[in-house]
Amino acid sequence: MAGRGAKIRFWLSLGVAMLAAPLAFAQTAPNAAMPEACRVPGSVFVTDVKLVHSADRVVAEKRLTIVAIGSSSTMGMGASSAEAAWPARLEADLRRRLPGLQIDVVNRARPRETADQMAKRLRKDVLSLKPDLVVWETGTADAVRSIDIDQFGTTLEDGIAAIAAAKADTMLVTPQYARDTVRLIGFQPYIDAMNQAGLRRDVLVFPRYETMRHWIESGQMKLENVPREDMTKVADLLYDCLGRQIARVVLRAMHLPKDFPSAPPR
Amino acid sequence: MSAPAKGRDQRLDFFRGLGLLFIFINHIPDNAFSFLTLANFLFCDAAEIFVFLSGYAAALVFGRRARADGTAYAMANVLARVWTLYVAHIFLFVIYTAQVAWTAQNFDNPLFIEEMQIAAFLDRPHVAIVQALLLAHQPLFMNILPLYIALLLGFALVLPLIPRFGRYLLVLSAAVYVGVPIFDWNLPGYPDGGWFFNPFAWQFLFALGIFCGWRSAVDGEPVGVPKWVFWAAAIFLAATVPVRTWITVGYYFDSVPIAFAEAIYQFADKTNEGPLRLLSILALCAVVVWRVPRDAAWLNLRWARAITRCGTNSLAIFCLGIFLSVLGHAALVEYGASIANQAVVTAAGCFILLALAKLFSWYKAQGKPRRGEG
Repeated sequence: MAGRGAKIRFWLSLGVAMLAAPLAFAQTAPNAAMPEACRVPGSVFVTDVKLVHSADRVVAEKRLTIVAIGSSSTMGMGASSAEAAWPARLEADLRRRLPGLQIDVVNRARPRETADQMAKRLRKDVLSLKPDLVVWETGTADAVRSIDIDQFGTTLEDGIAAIAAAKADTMLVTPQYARDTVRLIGFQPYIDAMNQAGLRRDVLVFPRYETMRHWIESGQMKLENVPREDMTKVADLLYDCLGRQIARVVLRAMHLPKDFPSAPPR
Repeated sequence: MSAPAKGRDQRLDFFRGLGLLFIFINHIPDNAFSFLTLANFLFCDAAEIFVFLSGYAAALVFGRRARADGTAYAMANVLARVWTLYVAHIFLFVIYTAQVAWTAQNFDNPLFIEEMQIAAFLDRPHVAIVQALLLAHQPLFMNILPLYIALLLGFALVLPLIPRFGRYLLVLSAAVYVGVPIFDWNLPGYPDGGWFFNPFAWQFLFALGIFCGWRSAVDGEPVGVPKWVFWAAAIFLAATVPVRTWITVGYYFDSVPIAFAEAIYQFADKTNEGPLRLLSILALCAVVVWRVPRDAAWLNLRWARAITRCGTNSLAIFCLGIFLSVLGHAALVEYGASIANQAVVTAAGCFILLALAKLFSWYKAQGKPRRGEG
């Protein structure tokens, strides 16, 4: 049969049902130490992939280099400053939680790029920095332009392979959720393709879509009908929470030795 | 030749009506009640029901017309129907465009600047509208009517050949279906990719519907199916329903091995109507035909007749269903998507569809008698 496409559409067919799941099966929050607005149910993250290269670097050399590649929301569009974008917040939170380590998060996002456009500059813009972890936020521009879904999946898997060949881990980050956009844009097939690529290549997928869906639908965060003067504040909060959640997942997925010095989230 | 069964098989419109209600429910994004629809228990969904039964209904209506009034007139009839569908599709496209324009104006949040690129086509309407007129631009949830249009157009073209070469056409149709995954046939989409419902693949299911419909409603000699086929269909369903349900439910508990799910879904591709989906819908139809007699008493109960009327007015109900799913989602955005609100929206939408179907049927009955839609 139609190979890749068929496999990806497996997730697509589960799509609608999947969306309701994180809320319906909410378990106890493993992130109780987080600011209230940032919390998510434990079931939002269901993977136990290990960030091998990152963990090795942290344990052996006490340092960690992360490069974020993505589009407008990774650039920090709408935030008060570049320091408020989620990669910078990720860096701040990781530094706080792993005191004494040399931690750098480099932001290499560009607006409106498809996965393919990002993959094309992966070597030059990202891998040249010798990262231990590449956080790859993508899917939005692809969904907006309805890029061929099989092609999208192939691009992701080739990109992940290139990153692995450069001895770095990959974490994919899915598109954003907003009630107003899901009616117009078919995100689900692209999110499914990202989950699929993650499963096939054994890499982490950070479910930003489900996470934001929880934040919005639970009323923890208000992203719609925000007065213009409050928008920056809202953006800063969102990116801060994202940075914290990604930091949490990164820390958990490194499976550091129990006696490794670390601070709780705050 | 025995005389064809008179009238219209009520089961046809009942199950088509049910499929249309499912389509409405499924088209509200993130609607928890989609859990209750076919797709979570079977490897096929309402799209298959709609396509197969529409093929059957097309043969019934236009095949009989060809018998009664001549092939040329019947062909013209199908083309008129295609035109109606085309206009309906463009109407839905206008609704979609209005949604995008509305959202772009009111959803002025820099956080979602990337997502609002969807409104970029408003900057280049000359391209987007032409692509929509060519059926290449099929925005979210707007891909079933283009398929139906393509299928009926094909039906119009082969209509004169069906009485004589029906079997050969079915073989040709099967050959095209088999050729799709090998040669990657599809029609081009806009701005990228191909049609979500690949007409070269889905035509086979439609052709099977036409074949069955023509044999029973036009020739009056329904396709003879040996008893064991019904048993095989029942066993197939009994085997696949638990698997599909397990995949749906097991997903949340992370209990379905990915290799197993992948292996299964090799054969359940929706775009190319994978064989597992095809077998599922055929098995479902076989079991329904077997277990639900044509004159089943419950088909005449009030609730069943209400659903049947949705099937008789399929095009209007389909379009209204899409339109109501837009409104329903807007309501959920406005008042919150709690389970209670989703229940209210889903129930209200279904009620409105059933009520409007009744209105349409009443309206039609006031005019001269009609034989229903193809």
